Amino acid sequence: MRPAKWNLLFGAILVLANVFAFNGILSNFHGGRMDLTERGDWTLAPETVEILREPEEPLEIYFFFTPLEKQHQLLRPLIPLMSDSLREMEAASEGHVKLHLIDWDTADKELQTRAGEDFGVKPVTVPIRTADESTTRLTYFSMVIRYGDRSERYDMSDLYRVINSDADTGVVLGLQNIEYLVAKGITKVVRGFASIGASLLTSGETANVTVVITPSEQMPAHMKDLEGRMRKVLDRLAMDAGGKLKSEFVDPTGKTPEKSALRARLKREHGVREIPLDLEGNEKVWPWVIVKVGKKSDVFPLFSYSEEISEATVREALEGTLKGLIPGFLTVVGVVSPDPKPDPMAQMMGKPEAPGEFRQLNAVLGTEYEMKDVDLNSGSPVPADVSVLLILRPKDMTERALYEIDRFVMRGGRLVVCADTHGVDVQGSMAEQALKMASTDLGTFKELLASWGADVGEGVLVDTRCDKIAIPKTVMIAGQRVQVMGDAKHPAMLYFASGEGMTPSSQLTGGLASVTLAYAAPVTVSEARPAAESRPAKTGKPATVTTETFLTTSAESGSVSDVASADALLDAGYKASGNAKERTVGLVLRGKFPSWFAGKPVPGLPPKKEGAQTRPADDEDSGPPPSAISKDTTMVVIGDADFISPLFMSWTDLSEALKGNVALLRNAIDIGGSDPALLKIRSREDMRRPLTALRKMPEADRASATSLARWLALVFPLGILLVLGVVWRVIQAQRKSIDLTGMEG
Amino acid sequence: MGHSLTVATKELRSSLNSPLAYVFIGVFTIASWAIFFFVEKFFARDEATMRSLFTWMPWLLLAVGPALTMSLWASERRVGTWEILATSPVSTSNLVVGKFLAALGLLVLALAFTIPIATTVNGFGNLDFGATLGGYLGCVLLGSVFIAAGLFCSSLVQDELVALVLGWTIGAVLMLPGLGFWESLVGTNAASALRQFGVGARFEASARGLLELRDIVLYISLTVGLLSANGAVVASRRHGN
Repeated sequence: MRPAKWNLLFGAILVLANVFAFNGILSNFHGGRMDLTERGDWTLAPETVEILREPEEPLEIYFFFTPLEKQHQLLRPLIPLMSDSLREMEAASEGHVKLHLIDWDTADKELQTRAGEDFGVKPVTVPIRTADESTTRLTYFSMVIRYGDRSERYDMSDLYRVINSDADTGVVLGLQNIEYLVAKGITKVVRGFASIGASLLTSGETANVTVVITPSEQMPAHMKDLEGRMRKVLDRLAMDAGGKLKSEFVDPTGKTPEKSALRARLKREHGVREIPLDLEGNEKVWPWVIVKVGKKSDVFPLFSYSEEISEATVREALEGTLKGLIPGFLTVVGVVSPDPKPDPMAQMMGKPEAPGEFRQLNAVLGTEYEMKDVDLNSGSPVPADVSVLLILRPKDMTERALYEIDRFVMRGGRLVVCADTHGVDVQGSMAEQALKMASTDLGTFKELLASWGADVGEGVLVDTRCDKIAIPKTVMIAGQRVQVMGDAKHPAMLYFASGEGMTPSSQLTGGLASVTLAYAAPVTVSEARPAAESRPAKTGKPATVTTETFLTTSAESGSVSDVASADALLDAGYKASGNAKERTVGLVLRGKFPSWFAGKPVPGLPPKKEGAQTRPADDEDSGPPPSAISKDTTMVVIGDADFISPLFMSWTDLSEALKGNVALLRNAIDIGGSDPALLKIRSREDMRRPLTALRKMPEADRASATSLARWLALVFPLGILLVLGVVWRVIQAQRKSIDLTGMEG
Repeated sequence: MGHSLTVATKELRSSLNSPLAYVFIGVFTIASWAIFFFVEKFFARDEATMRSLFTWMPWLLLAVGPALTMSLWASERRVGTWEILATSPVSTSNLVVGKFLAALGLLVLALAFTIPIATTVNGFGNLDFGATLGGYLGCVLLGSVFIAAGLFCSSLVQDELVALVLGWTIGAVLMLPGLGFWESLVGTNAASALRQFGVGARFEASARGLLELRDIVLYISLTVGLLSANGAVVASRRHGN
C-alpha cells in the first residue's frame, strides 16, 4: 500500500476510535431523553422523583442476579430491563440513591454473606434448559433497598409478572412495576421503619421483649448463634427507640424449684413450652420471644422448621410483631368476610383449616397491609387501629354488626364494600369438586349502604364486552369422545379495560390494564323514595356526599335474574335487547355520611329504665353511641365479590385476571388514605395494550378475521410496490436524463 | 447541499429504474411481515405494539443497508462512469452526502412499506403512535449507520458482491459488542460496558419509544465518521492518490 493510502487508513481508524471514545464517555449520560410513548411509560412520575430524592443519607439499592447464561431463560430478558429501570432511578435521584448491580457469581464472599445474613437474600431453584442440558439450578433475582441499617427485600416472585401463558407462544414474563416497588420500598425504609422507635416515643408506650431461650451451650450446633443474633437485633432496636424498648433474656432450663415454677408460669400466662427439634423429640429447645407493648402482647418462636435461621429472619419476625402491636404503623385493614374464622385449637392440633373463599386474599394483601379478620356479628367492635374496613360479600349481618360499621364510619374510617347477590358455595364446591354458586341476601346492610348513597341492585349483569372462562369441552380424538378444558366468552364475566368501561380520570382505575368482574350486580346512586305500604321511605344520597363512577358496562349490557340464567347464555349466546344500557358497577362516595343509628337504640344492649340507651359499665369496647354525622371519609362500592375471590377465579381459570382485580382492590383500599403519591405511581402499573377488537369478536369469526388482516398486511404493500414500479417505468420512459456535466461546482 | 440533493435525486431515480431496488424492498417487506405475524406471533401475543418487529430491526437493517449501497460507488468504477463523476464540478462531500441520502431515501421507502402492519395492529387494538414513531425514528438512525458503512465499503472495491460482504462484516462488527454471549466470556460488568458500543443493543430504547440523546449521538457520530472515511477514500481516488 502506498503511504497516502496508509495515511488514509490511519485517518479513518483515528476518526472511528475518537467516535467510540466519545460515545464511551457519553454512554453514562442519562440526560436528554425523549419519551415518545403516549402515556409516558418510560418517564418516572414526579412523585417517584420526589421520593427518590427524599433520603437524607445515601440510600442503596442492590440488585442481586445470577448471570444471564446461568439464569432461567424466561428471566434473562428481565435483567437488562431491570438494570435500566434502576439506573434511571439512580440518575433521577441526584445522588440520593446509590445503585449496586451485583452479579452473584462474581461478587466477593463478604458481600454474599452480608446479602444472606443481613438482607435475607436467598436463591430460588428454577429449571434451566440449554442445548446441552436440562436441569435445575439455584438462581438469584432479588432487589434490596437499604437505608442505614434498615432494608426491604423483593424476591423473584415480587419482581416479575406473567404477561402471556398461551400454549401457542409459551410463557412470556414481564417486570412488575419496578418504579412502584422502589418508591414503596424507599417509603418503607425511610419513613416506615424509622417509626418503630419514633412510634414508641410518640405513643408513650414501652415495648418489653422477653426472650425465653435455652442457653447457647445447650443448643444444637446450628442454633448456637441464635441468642447472639437476637441480642444484636434487640440492641439495634433499643438504640432507635431511645429507651422505649427494654429486653431481658430468660433461661427456663434447669431442675431447681424456681425454674419449674418459671416454666409453669410461662405455660400458664403465654402458652409457651419446650419444643422438639426432631420427630422423636430427643432434642428440645426453648426459642420463644414474648413482646408486650402497653396492654397488648404477642408471642412468636425464634425459628420455624421450614426456614433457615439468620439475623434477617430473626429481625423480620421481631419487627413484624412490633408493627402489629405499635398503633398506626402500617395501614391496618379489617376484613369482614363470610369465611369461617380460624380455629386456634384446631391449628394447634394440626387439623386442616376449614376452607375459606377469601383467606388467600388476606395473604396477598398482607404483603402491603396489616390484615385483621373482624367478626362483627359476635358483637366485637372494629379494632381501634383499623383504618380501612374491607367488607367482602356481606350477608346475614346482625344489627349489632351494622351498628359497629356505622360507628367505624362515623369516626372517619374508610369502607371498601364488595357486594353482590350470590356467592361461591364453598362447601358444595369442595364436595363436588366443581364450582357451585348460591344466592345470598344483603339484608339490612343494603339499606345501610343506600342511606349513604350507594344502591346495590338485584340480578346479574351480562354484557357483550366479556372475558373468557375455562369450560369442559367434548372433542373427538381417534374416534373417542374425550373431555378437555377449553375456553369460551361468558357474558356474565364483565370485562373492563382502559377506555372500555374504566373511567381514565379515576384514581382507582387510571392506568390499570384490565379488570374482570363475575356475575356482578349494578351499583347506582341511591335516590329518595317515599314510604309505601310494603316498604319504608328511603332518604337517597345525602347532600354532604359526592359520587364518582369508575366502572361502567357497555351500552349493550343487560340484566338477568340469577346465576343460572346468566350461565344459560354461555350456550345460547347473549345479544343486546331492548333494556340494554350502560350500568354502573363501581362507585366512590366521598364526604360526610349521616349515622344510620342516630337516635336509634344501640342494638344488642338492654334498654335503660328511663328509656335512654347506654352501655353497660363492663362493655368498654363498645364505645359511645355514634355521632349523627361522620368525619370526612371515603367509601368504595363494587357490585361484585367473586372478582377478588381466589377460589372463584382459579376455578374459572381467571387467575391471571385476578392480578388486575387485586390491583383495583389495593387502589380501593388506598384511596382517601395518607399516601396519594404511592397510589398515583401504582396506577401506572400495567403498560399493556390488549387487542380489544379481537376480544370483542365472536370466537368463530376470529380465525378468518386474523387471517384476512394478516394477508392484507402483505398483499396491500406489495401491490402498491408493484403499481409504483409500473408507474415509475412509464414516467421515466417519457423523461430525459439529467446532465450532470452541466452543473457548476 | 443543493448539489447533494441533485446527486441524491439522480441516484434515487436510477435505483428506482432498476428492478433490484424493488426486489430489496419487497424482500424487506415480506421478511418484516413474516417475522411480525409468524415468528413473533402477533395475534397470539395479544398486545397492540410494534415492539416485536422493532426488536428484529437491527438485523433486518443490517441485511438491507449494505444491499442498498453496494453498487453506489462500486458500479461507477465497474461500468466506467467513475471518470465522469471524478471530473465533475461537484465536490466530494456533495457526492458522498448525495449518495447517502439516496440510499437513506430507499430505506425510508422500504420502512414505509411496513406501515400496513402498524395499521393492522391499530385496527385490532390501541397502538401507541408515539412509541411506534420512536421505533421508526430509531430505524432511520440505525439504518443510517449501516448505509454509511455500506457506502464506505462500496467505495473501497469494484466488485458489488465484495462490497456487500464487506458492508455486512462492518455492520456485524458494530453489532458485536452488544450481543448477549459476552456475558459468559467476560462477565456481567465488562459485558455491560461493551453493550454500550453495540449499535443493535443501543436500539433497544428506541424500540420501546424512548429516544436518548446518547443513542442519537452514537448513531449520528458513527454515520458522520463513516461518511468522512468514505469521503477521504473518494477524494484520494479523485485526486489520483
